[in-house]
Amino acid sequence: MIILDSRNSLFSQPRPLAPAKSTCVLILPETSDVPPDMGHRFDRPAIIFEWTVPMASALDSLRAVVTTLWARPGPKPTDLIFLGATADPVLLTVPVDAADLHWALTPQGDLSYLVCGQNTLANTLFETFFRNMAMGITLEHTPVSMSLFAHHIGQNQAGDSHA
Amino acid sequence: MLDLDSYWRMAVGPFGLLDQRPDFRRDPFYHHHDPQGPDAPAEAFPQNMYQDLVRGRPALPQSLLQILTPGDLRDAVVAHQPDAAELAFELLILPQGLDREISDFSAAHYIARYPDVAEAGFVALQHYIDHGMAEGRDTLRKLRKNFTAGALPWDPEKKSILIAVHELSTTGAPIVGLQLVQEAAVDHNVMVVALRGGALLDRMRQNACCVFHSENPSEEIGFVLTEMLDRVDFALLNSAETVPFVPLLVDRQIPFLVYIHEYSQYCLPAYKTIHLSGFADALVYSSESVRDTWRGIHLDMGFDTDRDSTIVPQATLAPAQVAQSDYLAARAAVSDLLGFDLGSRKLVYCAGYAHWRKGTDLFVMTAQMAHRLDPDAVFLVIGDGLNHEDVHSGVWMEKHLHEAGANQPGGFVFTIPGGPHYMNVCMAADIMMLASRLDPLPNVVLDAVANDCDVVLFDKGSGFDDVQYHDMPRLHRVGFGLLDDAARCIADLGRKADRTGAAPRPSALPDPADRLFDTLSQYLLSKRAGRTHYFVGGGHYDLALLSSTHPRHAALRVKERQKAWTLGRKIVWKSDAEAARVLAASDYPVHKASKVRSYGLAPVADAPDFSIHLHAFYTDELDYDLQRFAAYRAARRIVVTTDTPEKANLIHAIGKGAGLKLEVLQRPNQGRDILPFMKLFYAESGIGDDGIWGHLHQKKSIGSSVGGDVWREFMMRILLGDDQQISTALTAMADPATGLAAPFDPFIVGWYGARRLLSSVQDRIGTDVPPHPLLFTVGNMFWTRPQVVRKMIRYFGEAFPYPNEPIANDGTVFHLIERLWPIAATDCGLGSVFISKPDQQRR
Repeated sequence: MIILDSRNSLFSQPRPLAPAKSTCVLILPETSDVPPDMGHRFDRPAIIFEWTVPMASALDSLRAVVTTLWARPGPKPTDLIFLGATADPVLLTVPVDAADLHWALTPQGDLSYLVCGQNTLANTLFETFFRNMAMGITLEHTPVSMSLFAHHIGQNQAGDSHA
Repeated sequence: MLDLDSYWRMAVGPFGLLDQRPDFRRDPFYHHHDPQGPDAPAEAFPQNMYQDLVRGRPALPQSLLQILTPGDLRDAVVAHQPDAAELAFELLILPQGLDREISDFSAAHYIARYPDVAEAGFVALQHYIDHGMAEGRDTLRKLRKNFTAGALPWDPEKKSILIAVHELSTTGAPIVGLQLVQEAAVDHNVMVVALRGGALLDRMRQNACCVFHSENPSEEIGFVLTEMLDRVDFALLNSAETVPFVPLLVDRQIPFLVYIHEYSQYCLPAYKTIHLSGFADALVYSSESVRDTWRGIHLDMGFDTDRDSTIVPQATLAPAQVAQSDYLAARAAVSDLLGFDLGSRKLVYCAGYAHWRKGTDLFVMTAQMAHRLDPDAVFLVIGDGLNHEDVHSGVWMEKHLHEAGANQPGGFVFTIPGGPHYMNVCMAADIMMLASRLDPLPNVVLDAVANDCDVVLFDKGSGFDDVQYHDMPRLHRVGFGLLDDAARCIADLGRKADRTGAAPRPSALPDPADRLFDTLSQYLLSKRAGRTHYFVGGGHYDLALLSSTHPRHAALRVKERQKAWTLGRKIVWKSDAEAARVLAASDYPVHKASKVRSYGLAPVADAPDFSIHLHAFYTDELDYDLQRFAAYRAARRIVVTTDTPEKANLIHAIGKGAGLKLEVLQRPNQGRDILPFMKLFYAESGIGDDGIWGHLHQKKSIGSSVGGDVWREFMMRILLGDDQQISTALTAMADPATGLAAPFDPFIVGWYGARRLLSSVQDRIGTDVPPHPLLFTVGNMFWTRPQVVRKMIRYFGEAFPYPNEPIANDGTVFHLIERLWPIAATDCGLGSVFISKPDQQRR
């Protein structure tokens, strides 16, 4: 699954945005000028998450996506790449290994990107972590939350987790 | 002896409390209320709340026994084990919710049930012990009495579902609910919830993990089903009457489908249709005829009928023959019941609860007419509800039955209660008459046809109007209410005896491959899986339909808006900018001519020439209003209408006190606020076509007064401004192209009940009427021009027979007028302006 903030520079590039095999999710912030029907910028119909209020943080947008889509019927994704507004688009071109779990924060503490492989998504605590997260989580709480995320989910995995 | 310290450690350890509080006898955070003085030794102070309270309440341990549930701890208190009551109390008082584990008391439930307790600063348990117990206030005990463990164990490998019925009675919709439960139980954990109990409880229990009923499910179920509710994957609500479950499901974010058997006309109050169309993930109707009556509210709520609803009859109409032996046995049984031999006489019956809707009266009238054509025919009413003391229905049914000679020796009309005789009646009878005025897809017709009865029924009275039933040989339609045609049809139809045979009876069980539960659940899941656009966050207006404005409902308010928007439903605008976009994108002239503008204040000197009409059925706030809005002082005329001379005199005095010249007119109490305003512009009024008029009123009609003060303030501020300046709503009217200025209402309000009246005026309206108003003068306060009012008057005519009070809460001609003001402006070639003030509380 690819989750892309529409403010990411990738979105303004003219070519198709994502590899064909993944479910694509487009996050539209409230102030976004991107029309909701721009989901076709991916090579397949995207699932749109349109914010109606200012987004509290990138982690909060990820919470909204995970808690909603994981509750839907059908198979769950086997990998996840989240690219926030400032993330390097090159991440989309790197294959995701099962053991992958890495992310970065912006200098302000916001989640810049998150990459989760199959091992992380198969962990039952993955969904629980987001489901238990308070609605509207802010930048201030993001670093601590990501540390907890690593503690609960990443502790038994290959050691490439970092903040 | 119970090891109290060990009990404490086991109970609070999982919550991480032991470090701070290893001993229940000492609460380091407790601040006692009764200091012994600054020099008193520490031991003189109570060390926890129990020690503090018990000094003035020596019976405290006995009070605790009233709520502790059976177990070791209660036994220890009963046995007067030292400190046992103290341990119990200190566990009960913890905020982690252990109270409901060891007792029938839950502080969370008590506060939710009695919000005033927390608002007054009481500790819930202390309040209950000191006051609530003696006052008979509710605890979990009352709720738990309505909980029944099911016969089936919870299987973690299975999906878990909630099936809701409105009651556990052996009537139509709950019986369908039982069918759903039986089918679902094969491969699901099933929780059955209902609003009321009833005779189906045990049969439900046999197929469920639990059964619970509550009249207030959204507030109560979570305290009883607790963790079970967290595991629910989806819910099926059977009948529109289950609408009280909607807030619970939205709050828990449980997707749900509603299986609707009710025509919208009697699904009242109207909020039921609004809430179901606003929040259900999917609606399934038992017939197209029923769904057709919901299309209006679907349009109002933005519910996509084709995308989110479908038709699934609860069972198939399956004609079958009756074996002759069964027929003869049934005839004999019914003969015994009636006290005479039916012989070869034609037996005609109607079945169901005796009621106007079921047309019990129409059946008896038809029997009287048919008796003249076939004096031998016997007419039988089978069903409950005949109550000669019921002034709404039973008294009049009794009168009619009496005059028809019902239940008299030698008579031709008889009544018997519902119950075990029913199937014999179906088998023995020749004809069933569905006399219902509205009946979705009654099982009694399915039963009749399955027993080879002819069925006489009204056109436009049931779900059997659907095209799939038109060629069914045993169904005979007559025009709605044409009883003489029904009587003739009954007289002409043959007898079943001529066609009985040895055919086996069909199985009553549905085809396993065609289970109703599978059909409904798969439909719901397909809707969820196909969703591609979600909305996140609560938008610009913290308003909601299901929940109150109380802070404890803040999260629910957000959830309901998110869900409605994601489903594409119209309940609240996300922002005024969204409203402006939707208006601009519409093809309807009235929408194109409507603009949304931000509220502002302007100097009084900028006001155009204007007058105000104020309808003052109530006078209590008039004095205050006149003094706090500068607009009154700038008005050329202030005309006040009221209904009695006493009020008129009082209003004169109030105006004098405020230094304003009020023209007070006495008008009959008819047409709420709006007809007195419109009548100012009738032909003989003398008011010309120039100028601008504001229409204001007190907004206190019964049914809208809850929150009415806040709403009225919302409208008054937006229309008038403040005590120094005027609103830009008024200055907007300075533009001669503007015919109407009104508050922008964040709620998206549809035609609702007024849609039923639209056709009566549509041909007098000179512009296309949109399927949804989008914006109108919600609340009926606005600025306008005389020509717009006169246009409105022409829609109805000055001689229009407006109804007298009391009138309905929705769907009257006055509610239609409320929605037509922007259309009247457009019809005059003028635009409408809606003034947005997001910081003004609306509700």
